[in-house]
Amino acid sequence: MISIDRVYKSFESPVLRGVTLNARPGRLLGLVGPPGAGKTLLLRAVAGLTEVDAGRIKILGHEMVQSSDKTKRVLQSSIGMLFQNVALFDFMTVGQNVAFPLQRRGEAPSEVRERVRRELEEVGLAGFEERHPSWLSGGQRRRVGIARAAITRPPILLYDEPAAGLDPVTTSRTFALLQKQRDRLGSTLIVISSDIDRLLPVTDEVAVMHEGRILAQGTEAEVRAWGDPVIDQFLEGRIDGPL
Amino acid sequence: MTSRRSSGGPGGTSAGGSGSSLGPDEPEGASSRRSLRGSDFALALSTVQDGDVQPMPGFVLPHDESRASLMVTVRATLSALSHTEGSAVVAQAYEIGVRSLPFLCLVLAFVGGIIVYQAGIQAMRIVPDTSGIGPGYIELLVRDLAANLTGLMLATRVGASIAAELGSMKVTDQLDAMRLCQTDPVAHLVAPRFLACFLVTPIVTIIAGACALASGTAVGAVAFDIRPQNFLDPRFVTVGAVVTGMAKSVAFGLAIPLVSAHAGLYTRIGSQGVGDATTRAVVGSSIAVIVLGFFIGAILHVLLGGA
Amino acid sequence: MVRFSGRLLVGLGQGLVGLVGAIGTQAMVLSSAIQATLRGECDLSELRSALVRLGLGSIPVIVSTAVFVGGLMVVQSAPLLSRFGAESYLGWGAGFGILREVGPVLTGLMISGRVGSNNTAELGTLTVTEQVDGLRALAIDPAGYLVAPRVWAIIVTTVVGTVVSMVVALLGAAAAGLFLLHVHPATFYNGLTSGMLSWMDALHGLAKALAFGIVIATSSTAFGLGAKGGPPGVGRAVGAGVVSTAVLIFAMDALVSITSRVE
Repeated sequence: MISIDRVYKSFESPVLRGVTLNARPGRLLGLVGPPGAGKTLLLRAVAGLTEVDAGRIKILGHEMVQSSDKTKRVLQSSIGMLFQNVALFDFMTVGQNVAFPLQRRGEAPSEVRERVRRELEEVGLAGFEERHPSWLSGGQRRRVGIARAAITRPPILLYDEPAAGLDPVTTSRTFALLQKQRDRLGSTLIVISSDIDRLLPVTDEVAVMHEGRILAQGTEAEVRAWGDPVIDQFLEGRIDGPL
Repeated sequence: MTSRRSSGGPGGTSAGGSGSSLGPDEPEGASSRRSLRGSDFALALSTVQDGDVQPMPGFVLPHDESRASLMVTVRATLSALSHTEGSAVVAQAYEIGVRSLPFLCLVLAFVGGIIVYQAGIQAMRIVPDTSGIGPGYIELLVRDLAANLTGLMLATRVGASIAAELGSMKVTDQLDAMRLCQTDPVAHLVAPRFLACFLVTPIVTIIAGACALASGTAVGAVAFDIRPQNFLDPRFVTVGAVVTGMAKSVAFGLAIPLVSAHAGLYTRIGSQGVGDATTRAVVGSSIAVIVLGFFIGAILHVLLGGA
Repeated sequence: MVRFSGRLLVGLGQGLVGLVGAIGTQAMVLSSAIQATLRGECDLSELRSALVRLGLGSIPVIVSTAVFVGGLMVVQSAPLLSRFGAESYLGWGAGFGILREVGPVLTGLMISGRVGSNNTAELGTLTVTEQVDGLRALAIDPAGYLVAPRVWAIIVTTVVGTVVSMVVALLGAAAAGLFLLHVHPATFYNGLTSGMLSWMDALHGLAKALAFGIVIATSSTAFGLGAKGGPPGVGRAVGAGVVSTAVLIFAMDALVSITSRVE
C-alpha cells in the first residue's frame, strides 16, 4: 500500500538516511522513535509535501517521488493527514474546516452538511460546527483535525502525534477512534506518537526510527525481542543506555 | 453516542444498521481500496485539467527556496486569476480599503498641510505672491503626491498584514493542509488579495487625495489668508498629470500585494519567521513603490513632454 | 452613509486613544533606557552588535532608496520648472525639499520599515518565547541589556542614515536633473549653494532625524515587548508597530516644522 524504499533527505545535514518501510493495506502502523529521528519529515514525504533527495515512495502502486504535479494531486486525494500542529484554518469555523475537503471535491452542500455533522459526532464533538478553532482546547482541535482528515474516507491516513498533550482518557479514546477508522473504512494508517504505552496495543505493526533510519519493523512482540539496545532503552523509557 | 462506540468493534460490518456513519456510497470491505487500479488512476489523471494544476510556490520547501523567486509567485498569481472567487475578492477589498482609509486620510491630510505650509513660507521669503500655491499644490497632488504617499502608506499597512497573515498560515502548516485538500493557496489566498489591492488602491488614493486637498486648503486659508476660491484652481492640471497619478496608483496596487505575498509564502520556520517576513514585505513594498514611482514619473515626463 | 461616517469617527477616535497610549508607553521606554544608561548598565557588546546589525545592515536600503528619492524629487518638480523655465532653480528646489522634508521623512519611514520592524520582530520573538522573563529570572534587567542598546543604536542609525541619505539623494537629484531636464551639474550646485538655502535648513532636517530616531526606537521596542500569542502575534506586532510609527513620524514632522517657524 505504502512502500518506502531507501529514502534520503538532507537539509543542511542529513535527516533521512535510507529509510525503508512498508505499510500493509488495512493495517495500523505505529511509527515511533526519539525526537529528531525524522518521523514527521518522513510522513510529509509520504504525503508528497516534501520532495526527497533519493529513494522511492510508492503510494497505492504509484510512484510519488519526482512525480508530476498532476500525479501528486491525484495521489494526495487518496491521503488524509493530521499535522503535528493540527493546522486548522483559523479563518474558518470548525464546521467549515471539516467541510473543506468535501467542498473542494464539489459535493452538494446538503450532503456536505450531513457528512460534517456525522463526522463531528464520530469524534465526539457533536454540535461544534459553529465554534471557532481558537476557542477550543488542544485535544478538541486535534479531534477536529482527525475529522477533517478522515471525512473524505481516504484509503490512507497519516497521523502526526494525534494524542499529544492529551489526558490519558482522551488519549485512549483517540486511539480507539483510529482503530475504528482502520476497521470501518479499511484504511491504512501510519501513526506517529510518543505515547508508546497507549499506542503499541492498538497497532498491527510498529516501526522504530532513529537518526534517519528504521531500526526495526514488525509486530510489537517482534520489535521488543529485536535485541537492539537503542530500541530496548526507548521502549522501556530507561534513562541510561545508548540514547 | 455510547451505543455507537460499543458496536463499532474490530471487523465490524455495519450491516446491523447502527453504524450509520458510513453512507450508501461506501462499499464495505476494503479490497477495492487496496490499490488504485491502473484504470482508475488513468481516469483520475485525465480528469485533472492541465489548467487546474499550477506550480504551487507556497510549497517550495527549504532546500528549494534558492529556486524560489518573485517571478514564480507572480506567474502563479496571474495564472490563478481565472479561478478566483469573487466573494473572496470583495471580502479582501473591504479589509484593505475600509480598514486603511482612516489611517490614509490622516496621513495625507497631515502631509498636505505641511507641504502647503512650507511652500507658503518659502513663497513669502522669495516673492510674496501666494497665488501660485493653490494651483501648484493641486497639480502636485494629482500627479505625484496622492499616489506616492498613499502607495507608501499602503506598502506599510497592507504589506505587513498580507505577509503576517500568509506567514502565520505557513508556519502553522495551514498552507500544506490546503494543498492536501487539492486547493492551491495562491488561488485561494493570494489571488483575491492581489485583485482586491489592485482595485482598491486607485480608489483610496483619490479619497485620501481629497483629504489632502481639504487640509491644504485649510492651511492656506488659516496661515496665509488664501481664499479657498483662489486656492482651488486646477489650471495647472493636465491630462498628463492625471494619467501619471493614476498609472502610479495602479502600479502600486499591483506591486504591493505581490511583494508582500511572496514574503509571506516563504516565511522561515521559527518564532521570528513571521516577524522577518513582515519586515521583508514592508521594506520590499516600500522600495517597489519608490522605484516604480520614479520610473513611471520619469518615463511619462519624457513621453508627454511635461506640458 | 451616516453609519459609515459614524464608524469612521469611532475608528478615528479609537485610533487617537491608541495613539496617546502608545506615546505614553514609548516615553516609558525612553526613560527606562536613559535611566539604565545613567546607572551604567547599558551593555556595550549588545550596543556594538546592534549598531552593526541594525546600522550597517540598513545602509544598502538607505542608499538605494535615497538615489531614487532624489530622482523622484526631480521628476515631481520637472513639469512645474519646465513650465516656468525655472530649471536653474532645480538645485534650490531639490535641496530644499530633500534637506528639510523628504530626506528626513522618507529616510525615517524606510528605517522604520527596515530597522524598526526588525527590532520589533526580534524583541517580539524574545517576548513570546518568554526569554525576556527568563532574563529577569537571571537577575538581568532587560532595560540595560535589551532596551538601552537598541534604542541608542537606532537613534544613531537614523541620524547618520539621514545624513547619508541626504547626500545620496542630492546626487541622485543631480543625475536625474541632468538626464531629464538637461540641467548641468554646475547649475545644480549653484542653485544649491546660492544662499537661499542655508545650514539652518540642513539642521532642520537633522533635528527631524533625531526626533524620528527617538520615535522609531521607542515605538518599535514598545510594540516588540508587548507582543502576544506566538509567531502570529509577532507578525501582528510588527504590522501594528510599523503603522503606528509612520503616523508618529508624520506627527513629529508637523511638530518640528511648525515650531521651527521661529527662524
